[in-house]
Amino acid sequence: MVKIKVPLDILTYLVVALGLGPLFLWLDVPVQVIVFGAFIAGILCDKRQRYWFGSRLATALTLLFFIFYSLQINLNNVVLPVINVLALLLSIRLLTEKQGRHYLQMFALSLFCLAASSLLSLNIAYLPALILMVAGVTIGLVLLTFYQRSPGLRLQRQQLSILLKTATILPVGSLLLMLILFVVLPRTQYPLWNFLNPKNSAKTGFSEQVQPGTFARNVADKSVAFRVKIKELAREDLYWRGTVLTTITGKVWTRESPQGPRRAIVGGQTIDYTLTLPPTNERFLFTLDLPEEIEGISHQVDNDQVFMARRQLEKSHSYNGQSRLGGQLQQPSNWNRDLYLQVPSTLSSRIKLIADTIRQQTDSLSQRVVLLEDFFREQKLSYADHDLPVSTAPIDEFLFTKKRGYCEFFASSFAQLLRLCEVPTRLVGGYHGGEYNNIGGYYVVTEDLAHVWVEALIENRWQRIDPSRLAVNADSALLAPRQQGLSLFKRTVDGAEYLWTQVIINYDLRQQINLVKFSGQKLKNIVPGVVSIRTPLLILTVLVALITLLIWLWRRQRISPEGRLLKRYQKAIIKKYGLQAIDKNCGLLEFAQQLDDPHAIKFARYLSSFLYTDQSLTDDDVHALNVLIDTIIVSSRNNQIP
Amino acid sequence: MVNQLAKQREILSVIDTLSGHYLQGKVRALRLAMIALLADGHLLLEDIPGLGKTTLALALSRALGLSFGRIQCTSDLLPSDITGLSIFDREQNNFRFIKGPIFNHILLVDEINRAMPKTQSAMLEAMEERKVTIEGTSYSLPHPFIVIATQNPLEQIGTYPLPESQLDRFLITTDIGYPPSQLEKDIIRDGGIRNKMIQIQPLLTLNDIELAKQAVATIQLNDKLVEYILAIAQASRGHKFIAAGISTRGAISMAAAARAAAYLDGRNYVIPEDVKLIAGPVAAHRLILRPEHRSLNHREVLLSIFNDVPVPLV
Repeated sequence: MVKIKVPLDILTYLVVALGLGPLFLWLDVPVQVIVFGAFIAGILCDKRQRYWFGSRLATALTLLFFIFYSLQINLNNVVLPVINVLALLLSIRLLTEKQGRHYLQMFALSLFCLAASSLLSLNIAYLPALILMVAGVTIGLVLLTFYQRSPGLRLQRQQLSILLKTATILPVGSLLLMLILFVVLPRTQYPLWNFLNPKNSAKTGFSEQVQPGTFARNVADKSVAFRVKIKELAREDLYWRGTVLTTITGKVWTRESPQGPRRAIVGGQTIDYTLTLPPTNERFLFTLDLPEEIEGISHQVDNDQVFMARRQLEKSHSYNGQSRLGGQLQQPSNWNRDLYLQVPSTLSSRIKLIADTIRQQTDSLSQRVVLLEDFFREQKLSYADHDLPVSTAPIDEFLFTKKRGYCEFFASSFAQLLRLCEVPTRLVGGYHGGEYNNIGGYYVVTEDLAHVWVEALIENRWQRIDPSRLAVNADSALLAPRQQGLSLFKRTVDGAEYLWTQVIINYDLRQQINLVKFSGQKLKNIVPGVVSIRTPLLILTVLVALITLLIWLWRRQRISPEGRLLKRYQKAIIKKYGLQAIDKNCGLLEFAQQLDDPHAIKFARYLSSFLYTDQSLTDDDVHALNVLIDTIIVSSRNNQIP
Repeated sequence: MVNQLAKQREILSVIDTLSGHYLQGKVRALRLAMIALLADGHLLLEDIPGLGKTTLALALSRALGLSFGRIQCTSDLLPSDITGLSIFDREQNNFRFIKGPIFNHILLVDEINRAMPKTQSAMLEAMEERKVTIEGTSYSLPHPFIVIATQNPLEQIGTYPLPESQLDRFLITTDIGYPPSQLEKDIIRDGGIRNKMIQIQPLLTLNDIELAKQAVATIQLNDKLVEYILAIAQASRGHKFIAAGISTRGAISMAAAARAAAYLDGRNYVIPEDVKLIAGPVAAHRLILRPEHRSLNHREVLLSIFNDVPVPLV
């Protein structure tokens, strides 16, 4: 025997955990502590049947919390105080004695908590939490009706299992309904509150400017920058192009969009991929270096192969790209060469001296690059992300004093030195590396892989040079962390999140409809005979109808003629006498005699002579029995012979 | 080929005549007695004295035109009082077997629970074997042969209640019950019918009964019904109130009785209702309840089993 309170309590705590779980990280720290403590204490209180709070104290505390957080609410801060209050209300409810309506309150508060979490994040965990919550609350409500009626009710395990099985029908039904609503209803593709009010925290990773010497420490951020569905590539090919920086003012590199016709790409091997960007405030469209074109998103492209979206990427987007691995961009003759040779006047004499030495050694631009690379190697520079040069002349400090820095130091100093050597140079910002998920067949590129490298114009072609590779510890500090390989668990989790983004978050009914329309147009082009989408639609409808008919016939075949007659008879009887169902323990004749319906008795006798003998029904018998059923339907109860 | 409903009308007319003129209000008991006869079984009437148990047996034997024997059981009744005994014939100078009352078509054993177990056992054995062996010689009992035993369930002193294993030998156990008030008034006014018994003329011949029994044996019992009976037997075996459920012999008895019931209803096939109809009289007395549930009514327990087993339809 099981007390009805036991499964009800278990379900309630499950529902509360599901409500508070996704919200937990967003709560204030004291509230987190209270919530966690209340959850544990609540279970203990229920077990001992002794409660910490009386109803008066609970009401007083509720009011207190409510007032405290109401005072914090302003136009910029609405959701966070509200979720804190919700969590606190739930905590207080956990610590007080629970009667029927209190369970109902806890269910409602948990549901609100889960709903509130979707304002802050559209994490993949939301879906399982929601499904479990719907199941938990509906089954909980069924148990609650029993509990409310008789709190001391005890059920046998078998009864309880039947009750739970029956109650499970409700959530299954509501989940099916949810599936339909998912397709039909519009929804937001980004967490509403967090998108409207982006956090003011500094974000590491890719930025529009390169400014070495601003931070003493570069903090790695493991959040996903984008994912790329592509075949697995060699590590040295994984350069993701974002922007090109042309102009240096002081120590800040900025972009000046180059004007002019598009340039040709020579050499290299063509490769296709699909890139998915999460919602962002930027407009950069990343591509595999060196990109040719992208499609599937409204964009503009500059002649240095930098792609920008025309609109801000406020929701997740996917686009297809085509690149040439190892390709080089040709520079036409009429161009502003001075733009790529400009250097700040504040460069130290030591740097200028190095440049002069190299320049005097050779006239060949490619030789000068080699000499400069040699100089970098000789300096024994190391790649690091802490204890960085922070001064007004970071390049000088980097090259001669501290001899440590991250990619921006390497790229910026290398570019400036090349420019001093009269080699046209620019910086390229983007990402380098990526973790390949071979379950999903895509690369995950995280913010900590942001990278800057150099492009130098040699023999009228822009060639990629990555000065960070010249660091003495390049292999261990630069390259190794960029391709560590993911554990199976991480790959699976990330694969699920990728699927979640592609299928759920990016789901757009309009897009699906457009796809159907687009397919129709394509079909018209491919098959000239097809005049419109109507013909294939008609064929499809006929096919569906045919399959339905076949299934119906097959199912009909499976039921014997006696079975069909019996079904029809039972339906007629149920309808005529307004019954719920026919008792399974009651014989056909016995039941007809109970009804005292002469037609039913006749039918029962007639059909029994086939049901319980080896005799088979003839068409005449079937007809006669059907006529009897018709008579049962037609004859009103009043006309019956008593 | 045997006519599957041969002599059914005649059998029914016996029931109608008896219940219409002589045994008013005893149709059910009469039908059950007829089922027992047709299914080649024996009948135990359990009721208080004075409700017409003996009358029923007497009337039946006369209407059927069968020979009738009667034993009034007492505690000093010996097996030989039932079976008969050998006596020395001085003229012939040898032993001569004198047949006891058991050598009749219908044997009324009144108050069977008053006989001592040894006598009960000898009689029940003869019922089952349909022959009597005395001093090395076997004597077959007449055919058809039916024992109609009676016992008073309320009497305790000086009785030897039939053990369950012996009860199992009776195909049907039933009560008779009081007649309806109006009928009882008539009986009180007109007196008993014992005197009228002599007027009852045989309605059937021995051959008729034989044909009817053959017909009953050919009544169709569909596989669905066999499964139904088995399901009920199995359900009784696993029932929480029951120590020993319906045995295989019990299930065979149910099938035989259901056939006879179908025959009486004018059908050459058995339907689940037949099984339900005979289940109480045929199976209830075979259930051995657990000690803690002894006070429960056997029929109620059996009914609960029927409520758990769905009737076969398609």
